[in-house]
Amino acid sequence: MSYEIIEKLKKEIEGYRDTSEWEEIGRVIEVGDGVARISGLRGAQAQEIITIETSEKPVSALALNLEEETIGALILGEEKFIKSGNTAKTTGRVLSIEVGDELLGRVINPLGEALDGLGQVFRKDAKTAYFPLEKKAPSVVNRESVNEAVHTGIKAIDAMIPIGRGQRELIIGDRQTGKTAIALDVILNQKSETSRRPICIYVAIGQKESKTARLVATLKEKGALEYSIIVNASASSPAALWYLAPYAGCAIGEYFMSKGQDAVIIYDDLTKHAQAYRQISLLLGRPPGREAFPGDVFYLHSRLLERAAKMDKANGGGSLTALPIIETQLGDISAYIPTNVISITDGQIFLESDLFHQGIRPAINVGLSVSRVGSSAQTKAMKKVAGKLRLELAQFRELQAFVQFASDVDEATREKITRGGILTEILKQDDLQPLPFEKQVVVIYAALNGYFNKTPRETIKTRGTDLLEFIEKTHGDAVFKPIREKRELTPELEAKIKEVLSNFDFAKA
Amino acid sequence: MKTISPDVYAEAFVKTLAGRHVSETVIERFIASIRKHNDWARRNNIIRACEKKMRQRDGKELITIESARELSLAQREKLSLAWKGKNQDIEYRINPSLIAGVKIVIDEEKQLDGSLRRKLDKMFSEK
Repeated sequence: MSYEIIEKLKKEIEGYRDTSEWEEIGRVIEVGDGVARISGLRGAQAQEIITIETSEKPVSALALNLEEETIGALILGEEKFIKSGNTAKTTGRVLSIEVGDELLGRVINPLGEALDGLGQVFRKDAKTAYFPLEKKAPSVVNRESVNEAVHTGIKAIDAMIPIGRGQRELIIGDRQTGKTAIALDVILNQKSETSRRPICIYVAIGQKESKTARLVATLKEKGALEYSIIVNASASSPAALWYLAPYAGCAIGEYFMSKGQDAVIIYDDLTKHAQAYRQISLLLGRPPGREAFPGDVFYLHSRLLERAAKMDKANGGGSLTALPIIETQLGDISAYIPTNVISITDGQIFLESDLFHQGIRPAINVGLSVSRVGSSAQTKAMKKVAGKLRLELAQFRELQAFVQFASDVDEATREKITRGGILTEILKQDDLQPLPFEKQVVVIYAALNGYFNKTPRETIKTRGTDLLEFIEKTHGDAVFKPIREKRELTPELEAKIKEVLSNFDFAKA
Repeated sequence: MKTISPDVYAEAFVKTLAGRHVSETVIERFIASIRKHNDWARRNNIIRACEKKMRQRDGKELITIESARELSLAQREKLSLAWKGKNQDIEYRINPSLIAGVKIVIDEEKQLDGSLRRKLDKMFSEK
């Protein structure tokens, strides 16, 4: 064995050809807190990779600030080896990540290195490409408008705040309101997509390792890891990786989009990303602005989210849907970073801790949540059923103040309050239980048409589940299958649903 | 207050010296000015910048030759022949981390790295 290795090494050395060339060099003058200041290197480009030769091994850095006499660079490797006076060289490469189909099911860091202990990501002969982390968003002529839905499996979202492929929908809320749970459900629900299943990319920025490990375990358990990729820049990794993680994830998403496939990317969360960028900018000596964020913090997120797109047929017809997450403090959506991202995205799903504690889960505030482009992508069946839902819930919210003395109001109002209560109950859903859209259509249809009126309030949720099980067993092929395939609610189908619903005992406790 | 870079100090120093001999008073005043601007800690960088500026003024280059071990007289002569006839200051340095071979640096801006270390690094970093 050792003989073989020696022979192999000999061959390598014999075959090694090298020509020394004059290179442009610079010197490290300052290093610390993840950034280095380098003198010389007059020919360096912005965003270029710089190699710093240390006494141990070469360390890469990213040129961010090109100043009159020095360069401010972000250290991407191990900072402890770098000393003042070390030589730095340009490489002529901009930061890019190796992408390919073998990334599916893997956990990697923003530089493309495996973190899951399953060995190298790519085989030696794998078909891969290098995609730059920073890339210009697709031009307007190469795009088409959003026309197909991403089914999230969450009734409240698919019915009222539909998300289209290529859309950017913000998930915003305080801590512990179920933001990541929604993202996770979206990933899990893609398993039920039979045609054009989107690739899911989850980017963890400054998250606890334990949380990411739990998420990966859940995906694995539910069989969703095979079409997912996790880009992890954990809380213990340097700010440089936090800053690069969303761009790395986006580059991977663009690879699948360029192949004509659909991809969904979740940035969890961009608040921490902005904080990492603030740290780097302050260390590089850029002037601080509002809340000490640098002046280009808006551009930081706008250029990232603009890369989500639906390409036209001539360009492969792929799409990249972005679901950024923002964490608010005490529900304050008018803070700096939340308002920025709200204005960039095509809508937001607003989660409230009050609703969460009242037991309304997912804790979506329907009044403040919107989807600006998604309704054009909603399936016809859902559009027909859910059209009235938003209006009824809005009226219910207005009347909610009267709920406490409901006996004193007139008959029509009382009925509205009752129906609002039923709809609220039917939209409740446990996490990790996404529902295919054809089932959502039937259960919402039943609720809106008064079938649950006699059901005791506390059993509505379970009766809803029972109803779907009953239909699955008795009329699965006659009801769910046509909706799933045709995506439309024809009059015959509606009649069939009515017939099936009349056979179910809604009032049973 | 904006910090003054070593290059700016060097530029000022060389311009002050233009057309006259280096006198003690000039140097004393220069040192006083460095102290006044709280830049005493950076004196080594400033000296290096001044040296570089003066070499540039005289049209000279600084050649640093790094080797893993001390070069013999014969080797040095051979190397200096390569630069013969040019206006250069040659400086020899020992850097054991090169393992073998030499590294030539001109004015801290250009380098020709013929060390074994670079070859090994390159060989092992290639896929």
